[in-house]
Amino acid sequence: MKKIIIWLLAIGLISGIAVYFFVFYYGAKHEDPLKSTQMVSVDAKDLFNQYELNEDSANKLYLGKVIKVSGDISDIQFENNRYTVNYATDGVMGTVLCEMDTLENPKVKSLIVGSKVVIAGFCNGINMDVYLDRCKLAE
Amino acid sequence: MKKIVLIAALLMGSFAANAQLYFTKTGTIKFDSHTTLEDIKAENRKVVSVLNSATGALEFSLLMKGFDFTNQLMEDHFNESYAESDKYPKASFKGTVTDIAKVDFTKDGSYKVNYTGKLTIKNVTKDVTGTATIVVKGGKVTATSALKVKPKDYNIVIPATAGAKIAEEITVDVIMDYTKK
Repeated sequence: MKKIIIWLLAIGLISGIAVYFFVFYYGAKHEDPLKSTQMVSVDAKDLFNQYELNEDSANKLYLGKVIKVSGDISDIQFENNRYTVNYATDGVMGTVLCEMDTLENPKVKSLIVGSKVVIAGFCNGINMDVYLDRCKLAE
Repeated sequence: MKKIVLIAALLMGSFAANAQLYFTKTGTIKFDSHTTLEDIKAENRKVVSVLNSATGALEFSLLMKGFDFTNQLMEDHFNESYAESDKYPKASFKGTVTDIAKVDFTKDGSYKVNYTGKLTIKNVTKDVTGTATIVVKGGKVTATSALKVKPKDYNIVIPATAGAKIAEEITVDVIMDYTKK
């Protein structure tokens, strides 16, 4: 009887670990930027200028954080079922790019180049462009 | 800003050599770590790269936080524990396609080429060599290569508890979709 209880406990423990692993590790969904409680709001032109002026300082403010960017749309690209929204900035060779969450596709489809937009996403830093990913329309 | 200077310098160099410059902001770098315990895959779709068709000069750079993992926890571990992406936000490669002369950029074709250069991850720079395939089709140029990278060479410390889940050598696939500038 004792052996059966030990076996049952062992099986229960292993099952629990397995469930935890698959649910909380493999199943861990990406964070929703709109649910962030520490969102920073910034104008697209200001964001790009700050990065151009001093990348290290801008990274301290924005890298890895959720930022809500407002500005005019300069271009919208669609590749591999994913939209990327570009903001109009004063950059010569760079801009602010938002790679949109694919769940936003139906809404992004109706955006118009030249119109104003507010998008929230995770800031990855600057590599010619200031790049945000997992973006969602914020307003 | 440094990147703009780099591109401007490459542009001037390309004019001097009467060359074409091929450029992308949407290159892809993905890696795959396979062990019996776990497969870890990630993809970065915003790699910036320049290829000079006359000199073979080749550069690319990417943001470490731009790697997209299948789930959030893997991504957090990568950025916080291994790549330390806040401290080292970028990785880069600077090198040369040593036999670029064999590529005819004016007509469609597929060419196997060799490259050599320096790969920098976490501020650690190592010499790398490899082969790539350059495909010219309809005026577009695509370069692909598979690099083998050992995390420990780049000061990526994997704790013993996670060691069995992360391969000692990781295959990094590079896919650059260039357009002429």
